[in-house]
Parts: sequence; structure tokens; C-alpha cells
Amino acid sequence: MNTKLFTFLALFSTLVYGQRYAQIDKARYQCLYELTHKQDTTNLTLKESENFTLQIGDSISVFMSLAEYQKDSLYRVKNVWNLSAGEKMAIALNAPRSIFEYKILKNEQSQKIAYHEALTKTTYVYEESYKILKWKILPDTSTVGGYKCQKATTYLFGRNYTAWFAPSIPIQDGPYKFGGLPGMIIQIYDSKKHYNFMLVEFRKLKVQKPMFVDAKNFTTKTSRKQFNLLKKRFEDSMFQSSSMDDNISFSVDGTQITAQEFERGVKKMIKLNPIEKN
Amino acid sequence: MRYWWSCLWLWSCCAFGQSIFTGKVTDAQNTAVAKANITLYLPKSTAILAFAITDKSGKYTIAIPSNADSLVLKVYGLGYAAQQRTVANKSQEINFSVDVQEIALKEVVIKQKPILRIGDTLTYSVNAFKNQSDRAIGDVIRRLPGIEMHPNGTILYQGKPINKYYIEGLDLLSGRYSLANENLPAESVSQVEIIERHQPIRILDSLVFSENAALNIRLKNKITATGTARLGVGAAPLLWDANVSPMFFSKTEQMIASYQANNIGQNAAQQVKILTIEDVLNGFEKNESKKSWVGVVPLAPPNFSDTRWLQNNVHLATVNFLKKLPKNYEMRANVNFLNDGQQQTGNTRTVNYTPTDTVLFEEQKRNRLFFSALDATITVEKNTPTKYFTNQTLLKGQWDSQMGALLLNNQPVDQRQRSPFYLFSNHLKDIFKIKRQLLTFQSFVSLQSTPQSLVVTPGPFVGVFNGGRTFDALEQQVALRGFFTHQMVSLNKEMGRGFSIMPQIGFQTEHQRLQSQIGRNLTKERVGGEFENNLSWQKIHYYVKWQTQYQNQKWRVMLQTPVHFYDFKVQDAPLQREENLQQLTFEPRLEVSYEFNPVLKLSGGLHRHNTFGGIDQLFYGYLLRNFRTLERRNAPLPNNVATEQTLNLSYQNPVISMFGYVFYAKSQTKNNLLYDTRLNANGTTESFALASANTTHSDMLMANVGKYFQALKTSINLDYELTLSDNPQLLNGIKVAIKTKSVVYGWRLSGKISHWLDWEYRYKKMSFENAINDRTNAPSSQQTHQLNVGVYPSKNFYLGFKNEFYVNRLTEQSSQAIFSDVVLRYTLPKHRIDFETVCNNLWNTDRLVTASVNSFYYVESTYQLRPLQIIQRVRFSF
Repeated sequence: MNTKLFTFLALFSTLVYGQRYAQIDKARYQCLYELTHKQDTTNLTLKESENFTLQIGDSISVFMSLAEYQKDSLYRVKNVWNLSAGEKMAIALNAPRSIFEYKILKNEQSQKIAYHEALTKTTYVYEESYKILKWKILPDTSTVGGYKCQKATTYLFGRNYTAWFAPSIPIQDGPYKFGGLPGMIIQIYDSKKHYNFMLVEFRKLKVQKPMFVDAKNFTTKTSRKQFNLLKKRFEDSMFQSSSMDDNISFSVDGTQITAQEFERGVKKMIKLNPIEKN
Repeated sequence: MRYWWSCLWLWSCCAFGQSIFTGKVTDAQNTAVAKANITLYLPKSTAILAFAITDKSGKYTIAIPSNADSLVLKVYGLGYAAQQRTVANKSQEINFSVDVQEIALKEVVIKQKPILRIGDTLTYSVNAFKNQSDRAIGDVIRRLPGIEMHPNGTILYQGKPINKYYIEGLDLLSGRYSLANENLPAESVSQVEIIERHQPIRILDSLVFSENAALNIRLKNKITATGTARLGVGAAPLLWDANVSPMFFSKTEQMIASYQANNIGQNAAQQVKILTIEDVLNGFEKNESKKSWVGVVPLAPPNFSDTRWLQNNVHLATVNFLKKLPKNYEMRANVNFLNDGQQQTGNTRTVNYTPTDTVLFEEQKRNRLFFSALDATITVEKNTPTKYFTNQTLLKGQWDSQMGALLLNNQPVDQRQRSPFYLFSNHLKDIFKIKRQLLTFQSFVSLQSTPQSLVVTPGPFVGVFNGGRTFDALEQQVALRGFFTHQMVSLNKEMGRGFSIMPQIGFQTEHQRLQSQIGRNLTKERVGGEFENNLSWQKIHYYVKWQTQYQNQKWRVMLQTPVHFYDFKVQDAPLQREENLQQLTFEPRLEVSYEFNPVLKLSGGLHRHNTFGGIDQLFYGYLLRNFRTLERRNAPLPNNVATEQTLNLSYQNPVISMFGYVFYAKSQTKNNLLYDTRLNANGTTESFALASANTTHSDMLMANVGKYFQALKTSINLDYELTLSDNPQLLNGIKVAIKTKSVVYGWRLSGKISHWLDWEYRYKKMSFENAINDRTNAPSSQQTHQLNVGVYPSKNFYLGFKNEFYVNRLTEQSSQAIFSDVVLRYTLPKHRIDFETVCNNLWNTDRLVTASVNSFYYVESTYQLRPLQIIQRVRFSF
């Protein structure tokens, strides 16, 4: 490869997508967590699983679903934001998607956890202090995921969690908003096991990878309370908009049922089981 | 575990306040080390007792939850060698100086488990979503998050209709999916998959964007034989409702058959109705549906659920079969047979407005409609990423007839109509890829024939046919045969920078022959002369289209510049009439849309197009359309030029749960003909068409706004529609200007009071006004109220109340009608058997008065409804 051309291309692409994305840090370590979760409290036999990545840099770490990470990289590489709607669609068509669309940034310096999530076209950001987590170290030790681990417990927004951390990886990080233990969190689950994160991969990167988030121009600052209210309204309205049609009755297997009966059925199923219950 | 908790708690309680270690961690250069882990152990133990992490200045504080004499304090971190020190259990300052050392971390890679959402495919596990009361797979599908279902059975994902309904990846039913959805037992299905943004033609995948999703049914067993059965009986009179639907699925063959019969007013034909928008065939050529040239005078059915008024006796049989062939080809056969006998009873009061007078006549009608239809579709398809080929052959026969017994101002009139219809059509579509361009070839051929007849007793139009004296009967015979072809080639090319072009050329032909004659009395004595048609019709149409499209983040602009050439040759030799028309037309279309921001979008369009009349608008001899309409279109070919402008502003803000739009359309049509309807004193009418250039105008405004109130769990939706039109017409030879104004508005409120009670209220008002030469006729209106309440006393019970209230304010009388239904459902939880009692029309409202208003007449009909009825049903699957 012609090095001059390569440098030019690299520079050019930074310029172009620099508009939409901002580089925050370079990842030194990369983890992959598998989340097994139950989205629907009315059907606890249904388990879904999804992979998440945790990119750890010198001062910032970014946690997000693998699908979201892949979609982000694809959009950056293809420079989607400067393409025509048609071309954008063609790329979006093949992009992976996740029901977890958030990014969680932990910043060692400011001791802040920043939560990023896009609703419609705006990315909302809220910050929390590291102090939301109060850990209790327990004497139990065990080998989890190939690492010698010790147990710790905490509470976060309506759920009690049990974490297994590995002092042999002296990084005070973990999945979701969890971190601040004297070792990497290998596994963490809530008391009902509705959410269970398990480390499936930990690698040191041979070449440091730059990490990107949405540039400031594309984000709106908010608080956790406000964001949750907004998201609730957003989800309700998504549901509402789809049921705003002028239907009078529905025929099930030859039986007429009312629109409300139908909606009731739908609502019952949409009863989500979010990780943060309050 | 609990033991450990209390133990630890006691332990920390007595330990707290004893000692605290503080200190600083620095490196060899004496600079502070942040993020270092400080952990505390009991000697010879590996379990951490307590920990701290150094701050920016390298400092730490650690409380000691132990009263052991000595403790081990360890410091470690990324990039530093670990150090440990045994210290006495007393509050003290312990500083560390650590050495830089790259430590090797143990890396792991564990095999990933399969995930349920892969790319664009969402997999729903049926067992997880299935309720005890669910029988057919449709019961489960309607409840899946993100999916909804319309009353006619259409499945929507994220508000958009699905484009395919596959079973094990195969499109057995070609869009007639209600059949599977309402009869395939849920327990045979393992998963329901939603494939988002599915392009059914694989060669177009990622080239032509699709907004719609497809649904795929995954069965539990690769070879499945299953089905459902339902039986219901009721009174009064004797009512029945039966359904038996066996099915078979394997890897290379699929079959669904069904037999259904009922007389409870359920339209079984819905189950074999095509519900997908067939993008494969759509926009190119549709099969001409049957044109009824003659008929009994109809009784307009009320515009609400057909279970209220449909007096039917329907039998439906359907067989659908799919087989995979070598070389990725597959063959499908869909055969449907429908037999239905319907009855309509009612009165009609018709008022005809003329510039000088109003003519009124009253009719009592009893119509019996018989439908018999057999259709067979055979499709051969190859659908691979490099090649698309489909050939669809349709054969259809309809043997419909109508019988009408009518009392016109107390004089009996008997009408008997037969209208069989035969259709053959073949549609071929082939798509090739030439580098990044796509070449599409389509060919369509269709052949049809419809020999129809109408016999009216006693003979109508006595003045015309029998010198004013009454006579026994009049028979109209009509036969239409047609042959249609259409060939088209198009190329799709992306030009980059948001531009794309699509050139297209096409050639379309139409050959039709209309023959009719009128016979007098039972001897069928030919009237002849201008009461016969012998028309040959030929239309040739060539076109060259050029479409340019531009798209970027905010704008979308589409410009079509087609040039058409039409050549018409119409001739009726015995009547010595003919028309030849050659015309070159330019019919441009411009569409522009602009997105201000994600919530606000403005779009508009400008379109000019020519339309020419069909064979039903150009025949030189008289036709008896029904017993009181004698019609001929002895005029030039209708040739209209319409200019349309539209403007649409839409607002969608999901964050505040508010949606709305305002739509305005204006159109201006230049017509070359005026139609005249002449009213005779005996209530019969004659239609003519005269050459006279004129212009019609119409304006339409629609607005809609919806909002959901989270706190009240209530949603509100408001609707408004205004239509104004102005069109000149001839009434008994006099040119009049007819102005009409119609206003429709309404709202919908729905909410949930608690988990066992929900409600919904709808209101709609339609009002109509017209004026002939500025003389305004009395306005009329119709109001509808609907209130539905659902109660769920326990898991296996459902009790539903449905109420409808109609208020009609007509020109000369007002009427009201109320309907209430009660449904009680009980499910035997263990045996998967449902018992359901339905009581329809509780107040036994047996008649409904409705009004329909046209620009020059006003019809008020009384329709006889289904009376109070009770049905008891049992359902199970096998």
C-alpha cells in the first residue's frame, strides 16, 4: 500500500466523519460479555441473549452491544451520514441491530458514568457519579470463566446484584454501569437472574483502536430521570401510533374481538423488564 | 448465603471504628499512581477483606473490618509489579513505592452461544408467547410485540403491512395468508420469524430498498400433518358455522386445504383474499375484473360490520399445494371454490333533483344474489441472487346470478340476471443483472369472456318498446370478449451522488368485442336497430418513460417524463358508427419532499395525465342496464386531461406522543363530454353522453391529529375532511352547474381504567350539501357513536360489550338505530377447548335507514338486518 495515499485517506476520513463522531480515547483492551436476559416478566421461560463489548482505554471505557458496535463501525467506514437517503438505506439494510441501543462511558478522571442513547435522531446523554455503586466484598471465592474470582454484592436501581471479580485482571471495570472493584468483573447477575452478564472474551489489543462517540453537536444533555420519562413516552407513543388506526374489530379464528381486547393482549406482551426498575 | 451476610455484618460492626489505614502510592520517580488497587487480606488467606482504589493524587483510605492481630496489605495495578506487606492491625499510614512492570494478563476466548436476534431477523419463540387460550398461530402472532393485525387479517409489523407470509421459507399461499394464520394450530409452530426490510426478489436485494418485513413460520417438526376444526350452532332461525382445515408440510412439499360453511353472516371469502401488496405484479398490469353490464337494482348494504346485515349461506373449499423442483425452481398451485347465496331485503326511496322539479319513487326490494367462483393459479418461480424468473397462469370461472323481486310504487317487477365470467391470464417477469444494472422484462397476456343476460317481467319502457302498451317481458343479452397484451422492458441504473435513472419502453394492446341485443316477450322477438350493439374496439398504446430521481438527506425529487402514443379504432358496422383517434400525450409528474427535521416533513406533487374512456363508456346502441336504466353512449371517446396538485405537511413527534397531518389536493379536469340522464314519468331513466367541452374542479382538505396522554392512559384522535366539487352536468337536456360540499369529522377516545376493564368511544359525523344552479337542496347528515367495554373477571373468562348508535338526519325524516352485542368466552384450560356464547343485536334492531347522496339524486334506503341471534361455539385443533 502506498503510505502517502494511506495517510491521506486516513486523514480525509477523519475529517469527514469527524463531523458526526468524536474520538474519545484509544482502546487497549477489549472484552466481550454475553448477556442472558428475560425481557418479558409474563414469560420467564423466554431467555434471550446478546453480546456486548467493553472497550477499555487509558481513561475512558465504552460499553455497548456488539451489534451496535458493528453498526457504528460500518456507518463510520461507509461514511453513512454524508450519503443519500437511498444509499444510507441500503447500508442500514444490512447493518446489525440490537434492542439495546445505549453506550455507557466510564471516565476514570472525572469519576463519571455517561449514558448515551439515541431516541429518534437525537442522542441523549446523562451522567452519574461512580458513587451510585456501593460494593460489599464477601469472602466467597470461586473460579468463574477461567479466572479465580471473589464475590461482591451491590444494589442498583431496583435490583440486587452479585458480582464475581478477578483480582488477576487489575482493571476496575465491568459490564453496564458496573465497575470500581479491585479487579475486572467476570460475571454479574441480579437476584432474580433476569439479567446475567458473563465475560466470554478478554483480549489485549495489539494495535490500539480509536473509540468514537457521537459528536457534541448531535447530543442533548439530560438527567437520568428525564431520560427515562422521555423513553417511556417514546415507547408508549410507538405503541400508540401503531394502534391509532381506525379499527373497529378483529377477527380471531372466526371470533370477533374488540380493539381493546387486542390492545390489551399486545400491552401485556410488551410489558418490558428493564434492567433499571426504578 | 444469608448466614454469610449476617456474619459479615456482625463482623464489620464490631470491627468498625477500630483501625483505618491511609497512605499514598508512588512510583520510582515519586509521582502519584492513580487507579492502583489496595486490598486487605488475613494472613494466609486469598480472600479479599476490604479494598480501596487510589485517587488522582495516589492516596487511599481503607477501613479494617477485622480484629486479627496482623493483616496483609497488597497493592497492584496495570503496569506495576504487585507488592504486599504484613502490617499490624492499628490505624497507621502505609505508603508504597511501586516498580514499573508490564504484567501479562490472562486472556480468554469462550465459544459464543447462538443469539436470537441475528442481523435483520427477529425470532419469536411461540412457546414463550403462547397463551392457554391460543388456538391458531394468528392468535399468537397478533400478540407479538411490534406486530398488529387489521380486521381484514392484514398483518402489520411496525405499522407497515408484511410483504410475504412464508411457511418454512416457502410462499405457499401467495398472499392468501389468512387461511394459514387462522387455521394453523399454534402448537405445531416452534418459532415465528420477522425478517425486517425484506426484498422478496433476491436479485434486487440491497439494490432496491424494501420498507416492509416478511413473516416466516418455523414448524416444530420438519414433517407435520395438522389442522383445526370448529363447530357452532345457534338460533333463530337455525344457524351454523363449520370449519375443517387439514394441512401437511414437508421439506419439499406443502399443502393446506380447508372447507368452511356458515350462515351467520361471516364472509368466508376473506380467508382466501390476497392481503400482500404484490410488488412483483403491482404497477404493471392487473387482471381486469368482471364488469357487470346488466343487473338487478341493488340495495346498498350498510357501511358497518357485515355480521350485522349479511344474510348468507356460504361454502368455501380451498386447496393450496407447493412442490420444489430441481434447479431451484418451485411450483405452486392454488385452487379455490366459493359458493354463496345472499339475500337483501329493504325499501328504497329515491328523490331525483332537477333544475325545475323533484321526482320521487318508492321501491320495495327483495334481492337474491348467487355467487359461484372457481379459480386456479399455477406459478413457476426461480428466485436466486443472480436470477429472477416467475410465470403465473390464472384460470377463473364465475357463474353468478341475481334474482330481484321488486314493488315499484306497488307494481311488481321481476328481474333475473345471469353473468358468468371466464378469464385466462399469463404473467411473466424476468430480471437479469448486467454488471450493476438491472434489466427487467415483463409480459402479460389475458383473455376474457362474459356473456350476460337480464330478463325483466313485465316489460319496462313500454313507450319505447311497445307503443305505450304493456307487454310480458324484455330480455337484454350482452356478450363481451377481450384480449389484452402488455410488454415492457426497463433498465435501472445508479448514477452516484444521489441520482438514479430508469428508462422504460412498453407496448400495450387491447382488442374487445361487445355484442348485445334486446328481445321482446317470452318469444325473444328481436327489437333490432339502435337496440343492438356490434362493437369492435381496438386500442394500441406505446410509451417511452424516463425517470430521474435525486435523493439526499433532506430532499427527494422525482421527475417522470413519459411520452405516450395512443391509437383507438372503434367501429359498429351495422349502426354505421366509428371512431378513430390517434394522440400523442406528454404526462409529466414531479414529486418533491423535504424534511425540515425528524418531526416535520413537507411534500408536494404536480401531475398531468390523460385518461381515455373504456368500452363501457362508448357504445352506440341502447343497453338495458337494469329495469329502469336504458343507456347508450353515443358520443366521442371520453378524453380527459387532469392536472393535480397536492401538498402534505406531516408532523410526527413520538417523544411527546403527538402525530398529525394536513393534506390539501386540488384538481382540474378538462372533459370533452357531458352526460345526461333523462327521467321519465314512470321512473325509468335514460342515459346519454353529448360532446361538449367542460371543466370540473375539486378541492379537498384533510387534517388529522392524535395524542396519547400518558398519565390518563388515554389517547385522543381527531379527524376532519372537507370536499368541495364543482361539475357541470346535463339534466333533461339543460346544462346545470352542480356544486357539492361534504364535511366529515369525528374523534376517538380510548383508555384503560384498570387491568380488568378497558373502554373505547368513537364518534363520526358526515354531512352533505348540494346546489344545482345555486339552488341549495336541504342538507343531510349521519352520526355514529360507538362505545366498547371489555371486562376480564378471571383468567379464563372474557366478557365484552359492544354498542353502536346511529342518528340519521335526512331531508324529510330522521331515524335512530342502536345495536348491542355481548360475548362470553370460557376456556377449558387443560383440554384446549373453547366454549363461546355470542349474543348479537340484543335490542333486536331489525332495520337500518341510510342515505346516500349523489350530485343529482338522493337515495334513502331501509335495509333489513340480521335479527337477535345467539350462537354457541366449540373450537379445537388436531
